[in-house]
Amino acid sequence: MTTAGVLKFLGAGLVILAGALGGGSAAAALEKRLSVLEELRAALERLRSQIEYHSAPLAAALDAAAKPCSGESKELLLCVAENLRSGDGAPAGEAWSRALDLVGSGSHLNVPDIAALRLLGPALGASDRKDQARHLESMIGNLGVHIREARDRSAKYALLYRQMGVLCGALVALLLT
Amino acid sequence: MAETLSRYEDGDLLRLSEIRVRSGLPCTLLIGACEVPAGNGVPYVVSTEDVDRMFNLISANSVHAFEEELRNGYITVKGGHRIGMAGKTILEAGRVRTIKHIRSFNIRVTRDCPGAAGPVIAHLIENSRPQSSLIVGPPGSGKTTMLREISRLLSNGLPEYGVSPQNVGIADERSEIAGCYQGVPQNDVGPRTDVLDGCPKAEGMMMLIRAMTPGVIITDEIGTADDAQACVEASCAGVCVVASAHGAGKTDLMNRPSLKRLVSPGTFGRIVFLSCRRGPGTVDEICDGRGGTLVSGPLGGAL
Repeated sequence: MTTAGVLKFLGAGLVILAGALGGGSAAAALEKRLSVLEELRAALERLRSQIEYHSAPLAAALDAAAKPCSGESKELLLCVAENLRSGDGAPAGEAWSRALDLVGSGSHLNVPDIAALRLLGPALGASDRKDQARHLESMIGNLGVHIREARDRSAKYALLYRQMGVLCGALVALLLT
Repeated sequence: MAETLSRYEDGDLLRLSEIRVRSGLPCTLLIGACEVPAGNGVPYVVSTEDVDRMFNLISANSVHAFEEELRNGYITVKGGHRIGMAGKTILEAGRVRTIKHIRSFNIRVTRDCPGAAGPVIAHLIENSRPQSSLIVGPPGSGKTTMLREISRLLSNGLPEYGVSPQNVGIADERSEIAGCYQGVPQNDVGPRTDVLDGCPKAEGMMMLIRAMTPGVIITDEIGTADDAQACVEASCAGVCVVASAHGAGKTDLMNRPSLKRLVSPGTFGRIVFLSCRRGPGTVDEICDGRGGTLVSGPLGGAL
């Protein structure tokens, strides 16, 4: 094989690899969204327990709820706790909203996920334990809907994106060669 | 508001006992016996936003963590200071569930007053043993401050009167004596003192006796028949009880059926009557358990 042929072969391989990576990354984003939502739901369940049974102040409850988490969900909860501690008496909803703006925008969550999470803010810390548990229960249920949608989407499209990535890469490589 | 307070001299701040914050009205400070408007020349008028932010800071954005306190109309904050609140009460089955739309605060500044029990402590000891004592006085006469000081003294021991250090249990229903914040006493109540914070007095006294074997039990503002019964039972269990009650003198005390029975069978070995005649902490009279005068005042005063 000539040098030009080798280069063409290598180039085509790189294009296919790039396509596969693109497809893989799109599929991973779907799976990551699902895992962030699931982790957030578990964290809100811990937050409910901290509030309902331990009567923990909100910042401490958020710290405790964030402990077993990792990545974006941990970052979000710790950011709210930090906003609460450094706030000058601003309502908890403001701290929650600012954290969502900061962490949510660069996360794997989509706009409807963030909009749904935003609804919890004004209720946080503003009522008794029974009412807090009710609000958190409602948000956990709401997240469940988003999780089901994310799971369906991931099951439907993750494999498709991966295969499409490879096939698109191969198609481009064929067209170029 | 914090900036306004920082302009006051240390001497004034040491005598500061209350800060009144009311939405739409000037903030006022009670320094010594004088009420002065807060502000640098111009009185500081409190806005609705100030009040809302203040509530968020006081409650640490956690109304759920202060449910019981809000039902009673106050929150104890770090430092043991008690902040009373007024607004719209929400009722549930005829009982206050919480307060919403809070528009007034009364910040009661707490500080240790070493020596507050000086005029009375010698009279509360007999044969090197502290006597069960009832401290009676009108609101603001220094009953709680005296209880706190008695707790500290008995917990440390009083070698000059032959009293060894005592295990003290405080049933602090309103978080006023020890001023607990998240379970930690913010006031010095002595090194051998256990505090049951936020627990109903009668139940708390029994819990302390069962669990902590105290030599002395201290509690504030007894008023109901259950409280009185718990005092009798604690006394019968061989525990020295030091308690306070509202009242302006012997007549007031004898007119309250629940407290009257505490005097007649001699549950308390001493009854101390306080007033504000010479400022908070003025001792008008110290009686024995049956109401006979031991010491006539006025003694001490202004803590």
